[in-house]
Order: sequence, then structure tokens, then C-alpha cells
Amino acid sequence: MYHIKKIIIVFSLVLTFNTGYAQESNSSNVQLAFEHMMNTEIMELGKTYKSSFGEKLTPRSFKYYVSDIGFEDDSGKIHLVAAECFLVNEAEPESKRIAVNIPIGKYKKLTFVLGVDSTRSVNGVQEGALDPYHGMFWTWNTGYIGAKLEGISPSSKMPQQLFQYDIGGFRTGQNSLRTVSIPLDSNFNFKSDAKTLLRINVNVQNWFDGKHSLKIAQHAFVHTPGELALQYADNCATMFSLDKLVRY
Amino acid sequence: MCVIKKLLTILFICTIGLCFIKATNKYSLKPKPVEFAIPEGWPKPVYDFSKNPLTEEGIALGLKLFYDDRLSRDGNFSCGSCHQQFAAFATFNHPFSHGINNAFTTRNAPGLFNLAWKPAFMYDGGITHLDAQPLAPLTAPNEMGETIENALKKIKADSAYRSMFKAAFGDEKINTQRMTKALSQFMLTLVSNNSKYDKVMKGEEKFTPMEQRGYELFKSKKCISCHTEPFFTDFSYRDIGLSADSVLKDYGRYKILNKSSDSLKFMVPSLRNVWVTAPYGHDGRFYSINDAIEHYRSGVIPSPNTDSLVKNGIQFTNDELYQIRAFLFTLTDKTFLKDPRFTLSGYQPKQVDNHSH
Repeated sequence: MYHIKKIIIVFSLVLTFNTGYAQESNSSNVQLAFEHMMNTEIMELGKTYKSSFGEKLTPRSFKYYVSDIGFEDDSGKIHLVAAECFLVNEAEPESKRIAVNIPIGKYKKLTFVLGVDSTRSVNGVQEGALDPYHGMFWTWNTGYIGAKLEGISPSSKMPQQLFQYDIGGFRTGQNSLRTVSIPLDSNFNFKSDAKTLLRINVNVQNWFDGKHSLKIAQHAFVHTPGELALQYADNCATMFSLDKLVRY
Repeated sequence: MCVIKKLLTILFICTIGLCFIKATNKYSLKPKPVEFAIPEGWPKPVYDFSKNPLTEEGIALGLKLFYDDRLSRDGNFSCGSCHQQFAAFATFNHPFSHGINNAFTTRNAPGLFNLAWKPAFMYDGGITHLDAQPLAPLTAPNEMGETIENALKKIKADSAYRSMFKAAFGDEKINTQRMTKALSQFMLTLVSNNSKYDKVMKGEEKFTPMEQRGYELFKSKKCISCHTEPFFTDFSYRDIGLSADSVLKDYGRYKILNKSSDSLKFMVPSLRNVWVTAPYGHDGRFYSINDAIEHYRSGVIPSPNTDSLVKNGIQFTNDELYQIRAFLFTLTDKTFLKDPRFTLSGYQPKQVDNHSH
């Protein structure tokens, strides 16, 4: 009897120690925080801003899909830490934070995919963040809107001065998926005993001028995959940069 | 030692008991599987049944959803309003179907059958999966005009639905995926393979001499190149020399990939049950079967994309037209048109009441 007790105690101790050890020393908790900005100002829905072209705009909705979050180490290896899709929505503050566990160490880049890939687009109706009910799914031409910016602008020539950019498309020649790569401080050590806040500056200004100059006066509506959507997708990919890394 | 033994025995009995309760519980909640029968000689379906296995409960739920007018914004239109069984689930005698607020659709409602083999949906193939298809008419402002959110809200509020979702999927969770999976389950059961043509092919019946002549013409005039057996479509996109309607400006497949080589191409429709699905063409411009066949003889307006098979028209005599037509009538599956499994007993489409023509 004594032996059995002893074995059980030792066994459970080993078990506890092992699981605790695994969690504590191998991974580090990181909160990705997406801060939606208009240059240096924090962006708020319903507030009016000016684009670099001097066009006034009042955003009403801003959301986008992020997936395949990974951290690239010095050797160039990407550690994929979350493969699923997250819908980041300015109107839902909690959606702007994504918690991930990454292997401890130093990294030179954070990478993720902006948009929803073809596998997730064509295999029927998805659940969770990808539920078509979120209004990010085209019903007439199967596929997801990868990023959406809607609002009003006096520069728009559309009814009610609306602008609506639904950027998506996954088919050949229309692929709006973009991989975003954000350089990190490669001296920063992600430790197991400290949580890290990784603040990402998302400059919505770049939506219009990140790579291609796209004025609201010229294009106020984008509702289909295609060439114009690809230009906006290029611009979207430039919105993201590192604001800061903070231990807390 | 003795105490431990007793305790262990009690623990053992409890565990077994719990397992048993769990097992029986699970058993009683498990939906009854339905096997999808592939007609002899037909290829493997493209629909992946492993991701949405057919069950009696799932099909029953899909049937109820298919005929539920509440899914539309004004409560007047169900899927079944425009997809009528007696018209092989097309809209009988309408070039366009009715939507909310006296709106019309912009294309002719296709019949619904043999969907498990259909690789893409809509005349332009824009929808790539059967499960995603119902979301288009549900949300289109000129069809059911509802948001997915509101449709789900109405479903969730109905206790009959809650128990049916539980029976079909194991718990009461109701979301877009489950709603569309159930609709697919019902629609997948719409298999039409019992026409006279099918019986002739199986050696159970014989064509009349006129039908036989029509079948031979159907092959020799190369109708069969696009309207390929056994589905009487090869599911390809083709330009058959129809000029775009000046109001609709519908260029078909072009809308999906923006490629000029796709302009005016539409998916080849199946000719099964063609007798009951008039009018014809993607915009219902052909009033009768005669008109549709006549198009290939005298109506082709060639454009750069027009299919080489029809570009110069297809020559046939009036007698031959009637022979081809006689063959096409053998594609009518009367069992399918009256199959009681596809009707919700007591269902009366509401939109018939406010029909003004």
C-alpha cells in the first residue's frame, strides 16, 4: 500500500512539474493590439479626417481579416502561432486584440495574411469569424471581403456622398491576399515570465496612398474583385507597422 | 485494503453506469443517416458528403427551411416560391421570378435537380459551393431581401426549429453554416433520373420512332456536345450567339473574372425536365421549346466568343425540329415532379395571391 501511495505521489509530482515546466519555459504570451490611426491621430468612426490628397472623409465602418499569424526568427524560420482567421473590427474593441503564445526567443518580424484564402472561400459556409453573417462575404460571387472601409466624403460623387470599399477576390488574377510583414526589434527577448503587448500601428491613410494614389473623387465604390481591388489590397498591406513592444 | 476494494468497486460501477447513460443518450440523439444513391452509370458527385452527411433529420429541416416564407424580409417568399416542384423547381411560365416589393429577378430561375454533380452555381458560375448558394437569393434586394442576421433571428425564435436543429446536428446551435447545410441536404435529395429517356436507356421502355429519330438528331447535330448525357449539360460556359439584352446588359461569366473571352458566356443548362421549365435562356427570352430550338437555326448573332458549334447556325428541317422536340419531351421525369418527399404538406406559396398577371 505504501509503495502504491509513493508511486502515485511521485507520478503526480512529475506530471505537475512537467506541464508547468512546458508552459513556463517554452512559450511567451503576446497580445497583438491593432491601433487604427489616421496618421498620428487615433481613428474613430464618425469623426472627420483629411486624406493626403486633402479629401475629407468620415469613416463609418472599418474591418479586415487577419490570419496565419507567425513570428520570423533570425534564421528566417517562421513560427506559425495562429492559423485561424480573425476579424478585426473597429466597432468591436475586443476584436482589435489577439492573444497568441509564441516560442520564447527573439524575432525579427511579425507576419500575417490579410484577407481570406481560397480554401476557406470555396469549401462551403464557414463558422465563427468567417460566418457570412458578419457581412464580409459576397453571396453572388463566392468569396470574402478581406478588408472593408465605408463612410462618407464630400469628394465622393456617389449618392449620399458615400464611399464603400469592399476589397477581396481570391481567383487567379484577382488574388487580393497580401502577406504583411512587420519588422520587430530583434534584440527584444520574448520571455516566458513576462507578457508582451505588441502594438501595431494601422494607418488608415495608407488605404488611399500606401502604394497607389487612389482618390475618393475618382473611385468611391469598389464592390467586386478585379484590378482596382488589387490596387487597394496593395495599399492595405502598407497600413501596418510596429508601434511598440511593451512588457507588462 | 478492504475499504479500498469496496471503494474501487463502487467507482467501477459508477463509471460503467455513466458510460452507459452517455452512450444511450448519444444514441437517442443521433440523427438517422440517409444513403445518397448514385444512379447507375452516373459519375461520382462533386458535392463532398463527408462534410455534410445526409440524415433524415437534416433533410426534414432543409425541407422546412426551403418552404419557409419567413426567411424573406416581408414574409412572402420562400425558396419554394420561385422554385416550384411542378416546374422541376424552376418558376413556371415566368421569364423572371418575383421578389419582394414587386421586384423582378434579372435571370430565369433554373430548375433544381441533380445538384450534387453541379460544380458551380448561377448562369455565371459565380457561386462555387451548393451550401453558399442559398445566401444569394436570401440577401438579394430583388429576391428575398433579408439579411442573414435577421433570417437567423427568426429561425432561433421558433421552438420547432430549435428542436429540429438539435435533432439534425446534435445541439440547438443555429448559425449560417447549419442553416445552409440543412438546405443543401434537402436540395441534394432532388435527384431526377426517372424520365422516359432513363427508362429507355435501362431497356425498360422504348422510344417511339419519332423520339428515336429525335435522339439520333440530337447526337448528329451535336446538341449533345454541350448538353452531354447523363446530365444533359457539360457544365461549361458558352456563348450561343445571344445578344445582350439592352436593359439587363448581362454578359454572364464576364462578371466573375472580368475576362473579355468570357463575355456573353453562360453555363449550359440541363435539358432534363425541359418540357416544364419554359421559358428558356438565361433571361427567359425563348417563350417555347420551338423558339429555343429555332434560335440555333436562324437566330444566332455571332460575336468573337460565339461557340464554333453554333456560330454558323445549325441546319435542320421543320420535321427535324419536331423530332428533336419529341426527344426532349422524353427527358421529363414525372415521378420527380410529383414526388411527395419534396413537398411540405399544406404549403401554399403566398405570392400567388398578389399575382397580377
